[in-house]
Amino acid sequence: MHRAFSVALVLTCTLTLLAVLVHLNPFDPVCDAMDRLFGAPPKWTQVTNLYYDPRTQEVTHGGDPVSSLNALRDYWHERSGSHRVVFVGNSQMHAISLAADERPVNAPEKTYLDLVGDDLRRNNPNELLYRLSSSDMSYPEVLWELSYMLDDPDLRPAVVVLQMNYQAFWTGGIRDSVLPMLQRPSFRVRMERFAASGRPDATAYADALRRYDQFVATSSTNSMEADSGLTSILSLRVTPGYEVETRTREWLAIVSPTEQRAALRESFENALYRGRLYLLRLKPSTARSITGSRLLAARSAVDSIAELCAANGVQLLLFHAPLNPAVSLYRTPRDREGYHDFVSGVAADYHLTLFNFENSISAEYWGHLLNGPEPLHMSRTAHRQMAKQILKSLHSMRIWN
Amino acid sequence: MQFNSYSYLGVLLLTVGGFWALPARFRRWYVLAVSIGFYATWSPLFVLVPVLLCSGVFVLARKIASDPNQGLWYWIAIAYAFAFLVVFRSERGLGPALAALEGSLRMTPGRTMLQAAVPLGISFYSLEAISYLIDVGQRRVKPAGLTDLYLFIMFWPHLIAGPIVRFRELAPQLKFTKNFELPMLLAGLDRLIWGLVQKNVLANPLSRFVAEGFSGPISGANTWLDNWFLAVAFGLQIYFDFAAYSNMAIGAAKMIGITLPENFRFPYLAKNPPDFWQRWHITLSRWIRDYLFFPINARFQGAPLTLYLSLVGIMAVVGLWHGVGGGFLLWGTLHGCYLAAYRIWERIHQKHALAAKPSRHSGALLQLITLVAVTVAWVPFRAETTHQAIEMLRSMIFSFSPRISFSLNSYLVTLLIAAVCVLEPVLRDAIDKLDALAQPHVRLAIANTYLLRPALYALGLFLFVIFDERSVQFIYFQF
Repeated sequence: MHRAFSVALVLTCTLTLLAVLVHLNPFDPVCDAMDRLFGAPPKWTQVTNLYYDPRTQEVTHGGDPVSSLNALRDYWHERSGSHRVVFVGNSQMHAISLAADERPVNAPEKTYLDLVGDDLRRNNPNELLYRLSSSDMSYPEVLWELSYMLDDPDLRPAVVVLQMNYQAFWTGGIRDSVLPMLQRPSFRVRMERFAASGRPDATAYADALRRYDQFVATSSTNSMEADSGLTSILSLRVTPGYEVETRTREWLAIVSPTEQRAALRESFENALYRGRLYLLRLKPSTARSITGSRLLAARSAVDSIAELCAANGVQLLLFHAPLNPAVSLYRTPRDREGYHDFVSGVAADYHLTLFNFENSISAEYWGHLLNGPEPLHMSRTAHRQMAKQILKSLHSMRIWN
Repeated sequence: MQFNSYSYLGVLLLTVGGFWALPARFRRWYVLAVSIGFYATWSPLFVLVPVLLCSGVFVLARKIASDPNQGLWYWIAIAYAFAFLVVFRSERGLGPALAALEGSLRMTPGRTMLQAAVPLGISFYSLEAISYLIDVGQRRVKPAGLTDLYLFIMFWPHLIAGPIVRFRELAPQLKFTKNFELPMLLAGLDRLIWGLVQKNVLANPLSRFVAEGFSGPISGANTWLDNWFLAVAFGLQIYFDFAAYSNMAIGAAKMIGITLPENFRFPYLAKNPPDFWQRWHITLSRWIRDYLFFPINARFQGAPLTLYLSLVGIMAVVGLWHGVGGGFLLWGTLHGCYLAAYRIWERIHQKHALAAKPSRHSGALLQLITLVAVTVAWVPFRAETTHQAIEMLRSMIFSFSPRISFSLNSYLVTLLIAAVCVLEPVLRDAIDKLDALAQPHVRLAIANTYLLRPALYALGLFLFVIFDERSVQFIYFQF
């Protein structure tokens, strides 16, 4: 009896302390403490009250693009004769970081593409604009999402405006959140073709396909997919161990939601990231040279995007994203040259129009991020300036009537 | 059922509870039933493979024991056990055929993408069977009863990926005569939870970086620094992954009073190549040493050239044990060359009556050279093709460049995990010292048992839960 009590006490103490840790999330206070210690700007400078419209924005910012695109499909389907333009890029398109002289307002804030969309709708309700943006979107992922859109007549745009960003050539891979797109067999076939192409970006698609297959093998919806024929395509079945694990996880999701665990992990990673910024002083704005396999894959993906648009009769436009003049992301002049030469080369090879907004926003219109100038996200004023420039440029191209 | 799955942890808790609740005379059958059930969670049909192996080995061991000349039956028995390894591991062997049969019978499960069509653990338990047969042949052990043999081979903690145990060290414990003691359970939990942390927090986060960096079509564009970091990252990934499995196996066994042999002892702190093999996959090393290396060298009475050649040859075989491929062969051969080179160096040292012990500086240098050599050898082990491995090795040696290709975080995470690897023995030592300090004092011992230990377990489980990624399998499951 005494032994059983001892064991029960150890297990109870362990589980209680575990519950306390999960409930308290010890990493958030660590992040806050580091922010205070190193003088980070107040949290309100990162605007959270943003304008929300699923008809014109991928509102999950990469978290669940399939649900966003499903909503878009319904909306565009009802307006089948309209002229559709999709802007694709990173979080610069959907985030606002207030500058030193800006204060928060009560109304939802609009980013430059929201403002461009407003202007369009005022002049012609048949012009549809969509913002497909997510943080750190890599070019292989852009290709992935564009292929998905082009694979569906109701999601097919007439014009794609692609943001070119030096940082994006550093980013690689396909995120888990876009993998469910593979549930559509025709899209899967498309991506399998890309994965088998042997090009440098093919690895990213092959890896994504493999991860999805693993995901399906461990998914609780496997039996449903078997009925739809997807499992036979993938030649997958699950082991009893996986079945048991799946049921356990379903139960666990009730006790401790998956989102809660993901949020805890994010807090932990934020704490590590702050350690990197504050202690090692390695900022996102630290100048860098980009080289090697990721660069090769990113460049190859940009080529693939241009080819994909050309093959599908979609007009592709490129633009260099604005940069904060107070931050140089290029480590050497050669890095800048190499990046610009490549983008200009793609534009020339595929006869694409390229706009350069790189130096279009002056330093005073950028905010601060933790311990340095914001390298990516613009202020409210900067978004307004950018909207005007975009409208001017695209009107000059007669993209819109 | 993977060791780092929630369902396994739940089942383990129930199994351990059930084990101690049962009268001792039923425990053997209980453990055997659990072990068979555990294997069946991977594949019910493939349970036949270890059952068939055990049954054959049981009969053949008796034949060997009754054969005074140690002749034909001995070699038939070895060939029988070895055949399992060869037939099921070969691409066109029985494994894929059984998997196809399983599919055609619509037996759930068939193979998934997560499993090759190979019975899990075959490389491990066939070596155990061979060692048992050799021991019987050399009269080191008597032929076992069928239940003992089943339990020895199929005991679930070591069934899938070791540690590779010997009959004489496990069989006496499988009487399950020990009484329950709380420290035994805590020692088991220590290992189990540290294993969970090693797997989810230290090994898995490196898997993306390693997979991307070693991917065939683009690895040629990796820079010098990329390739070095990738080799280090893979070395850390495979260590923490495999050590995690071993710790969880040892921990689970400990919770029911069984002590399995250690498989890792901080291998990257090895002082020289032979020392590395006394720290890395220890149970495989000693199997190779006792059942291959010693017999071969005893025959040639330690002639130097034979010694060197046998080292290279045997390590090449160790490479091939992981799988048929140029990369594994190259990895094994490289390690054989390291061992031979070290023996030559040692011989020169002795011949010229140099200092018996290396100085502190030369010792540190040798330790560093060993670490670099081991890291270099991981490249062919992980590379997708031999050509890719050679290209990466060439870049690591000849194409110096301080530039990096991947996200800065990948390199920082690698460094952070390397730091944990260096600090691991310090942490282990601190916990041991704390235990020793607390033991004589009742209050401290109570605080240690009911406060500090639960706090450490909770922290470990917390990290395990938030780093949970279901799709990442143990690397050594493929061998």
